[in-house]
Amino acid sequence: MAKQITIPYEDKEYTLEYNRKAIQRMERSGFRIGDLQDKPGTSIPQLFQGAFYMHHRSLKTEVIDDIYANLEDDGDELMEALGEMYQDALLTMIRPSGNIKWEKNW
Amino acid sequence: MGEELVSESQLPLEASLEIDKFASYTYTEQFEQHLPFFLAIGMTLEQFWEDDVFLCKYYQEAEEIRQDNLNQQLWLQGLYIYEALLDVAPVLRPMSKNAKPGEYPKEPYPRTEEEIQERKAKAEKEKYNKMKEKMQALYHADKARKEGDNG
Repeated sequence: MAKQITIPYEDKEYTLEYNRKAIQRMERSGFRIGDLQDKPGTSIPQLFQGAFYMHHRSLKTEVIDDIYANLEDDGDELMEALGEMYQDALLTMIRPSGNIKWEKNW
Repeated sequence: MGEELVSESQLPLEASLEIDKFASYTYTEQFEQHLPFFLAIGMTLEQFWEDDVFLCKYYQEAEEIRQDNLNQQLWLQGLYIYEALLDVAPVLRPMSKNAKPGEYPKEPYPRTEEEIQERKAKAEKEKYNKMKEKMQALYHADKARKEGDNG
């Protein structure tokens, strides 16, 4: 089932989600998921902006920038979630074949 | 031999693919590389590019179920053919004394436990009815004989 994040902003609710079209568009503009650690200053805002493409294609960049600038806790947790959602676009195409189980403790 | 005829070999995205291998590629390249597979298993272009990304996972799971079902159907078909060959075998042997072919099953093999039980119950009922008819026939014959003796 689709992973989505909702953000209420000025009487509207925005749904953040990635489809493959959005990722293709982001990569054509130069975004690379691998740059998140090396170039967070430019890639994190791009990651955030790209998450609006699927459901709010015509939303103005200024609005997205304004939401981004006002995120609580600098949006760290949100960016982590967005990174995971972004990777799902690829991981959902891969069939796991191993049977070694693992679990996280947080 | 034959183990992967209709299942695993048709699914190209094995988990032996490690995420590290994607490091030098863009996601878009990976999408485009694997798009034909998803089109082949029934996804539309629009679903692949614009819908929920988890659809790919569900389509792959559905494809595995489809392949399992196909495998099962082919196996069953083979069983019917095998038994049919055994049934006609006596006719095909020119020197056979018993040249009568076996009877082809009147109905398909039962598929579920419920069907097996239904068939068993039906067979038992038929057996009981035959026995009952036989007993009734004997009774009537005996009665007629006794009436004949008295008359």
